[in-house]
Amino acid sequence: MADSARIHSVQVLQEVKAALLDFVKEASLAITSVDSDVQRTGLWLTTDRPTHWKHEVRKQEEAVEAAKAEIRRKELAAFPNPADTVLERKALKRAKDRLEQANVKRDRVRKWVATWERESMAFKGGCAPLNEILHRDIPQAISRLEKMMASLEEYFRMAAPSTDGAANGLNAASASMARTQDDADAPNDDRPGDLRRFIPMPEERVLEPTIELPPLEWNAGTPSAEDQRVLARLDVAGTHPPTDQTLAVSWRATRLDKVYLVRLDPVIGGGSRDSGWYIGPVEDPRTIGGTRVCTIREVLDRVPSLAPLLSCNIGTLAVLQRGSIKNVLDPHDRELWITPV
Amino acid sequence: MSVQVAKTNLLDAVKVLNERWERAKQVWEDQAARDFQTQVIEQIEPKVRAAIKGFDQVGELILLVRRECGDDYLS
Repeated sequence: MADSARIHSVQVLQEVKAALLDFVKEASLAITSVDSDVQRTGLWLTTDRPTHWKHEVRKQEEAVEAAKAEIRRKELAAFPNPADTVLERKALKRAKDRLEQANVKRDRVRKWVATWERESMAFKGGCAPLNEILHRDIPQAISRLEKMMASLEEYFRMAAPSTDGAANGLNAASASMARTQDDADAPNDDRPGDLRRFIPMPEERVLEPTIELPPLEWNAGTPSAEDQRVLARLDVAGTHPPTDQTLAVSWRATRLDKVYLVRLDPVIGGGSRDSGWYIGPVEDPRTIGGTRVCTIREVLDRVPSLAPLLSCNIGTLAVLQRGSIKNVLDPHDRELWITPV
Repeated sequence: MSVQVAKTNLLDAVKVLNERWERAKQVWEDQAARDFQTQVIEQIEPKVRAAIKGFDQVGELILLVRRECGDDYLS
């Protein structure tokens, strides 16, 4: 199960990364495309248009002069009679109209040349926040995802089921500890103290994840108020560890309805915040499926009624099944629990 | 690519991103995912909207400039 969770989690981060990269590509292309249009328009305005309309104005001035000259030529030719210059005057009017339009267009080009730079800057300014997202925030987010993926890979590599201690980087002795147990040694309900043989080695109980994992799964139920009251009166009752300390729980145990909780001497040093608590599966206790290290706070947030159990002294071992406490052993494996009636 | 095509492509890109994020959220749903949504994903769309507004404005200006400064005479 840990494997499927691992693949699932890393895959989803990879998919988010791919989605962001695709978005950056498409959005950058869109911005670049419009920016190119803006630049092309600016270039057209500043280099092509002034020349074009200067030439057009001159051309239309010449057309006006030519039309006037044609009228004069016809008038002279007809002198002293009046000349028929209707067509020539229409041509003159059209030439004058076109000259006026050319002048208007030349003025508009001048106006746009003066303002285009400002419009271009305004466009760039409007796109700046998106550009920042594309070229700063998203790359940072992708870097964050990559770190999370690396952490997740590393965490699951370390917390993988102990079927190959050397491969998963765990202490070979600790990884093989459970494997070497003979089935005949497997504990049964009459000998819960035997569960102590299946406690993972210290390094497996203190390796904290570097990223946030999904909320703790818990299927062993919550002790009843009566069980909690009885528990508080036992000889092993003490104070529960600070909530920022950690405990280790077998991944497999999180999915089972019967678990054991045992408090060991805390692992000290190397930045450990270990409280000494370990929670493992009662059935097939050698198969722990890796360990998840979480804070006491996380556990109590998920199962508040575990507080009295977690307050038991070092050496205590308790078995919990579907919220019902089955056993409480003192450090000498003496049964202290009598199921409340 | 015209401004209109670029606009369509950008809107499609953010839509696809949001769809892919919604799918990812169904699997990745811890606090880190919620932080990622707030700090990254939700920051994108407002910026895209602002850029699209810029696309629209500059697109209209380009059309206006082409019309006002183009080769055509009225007659």
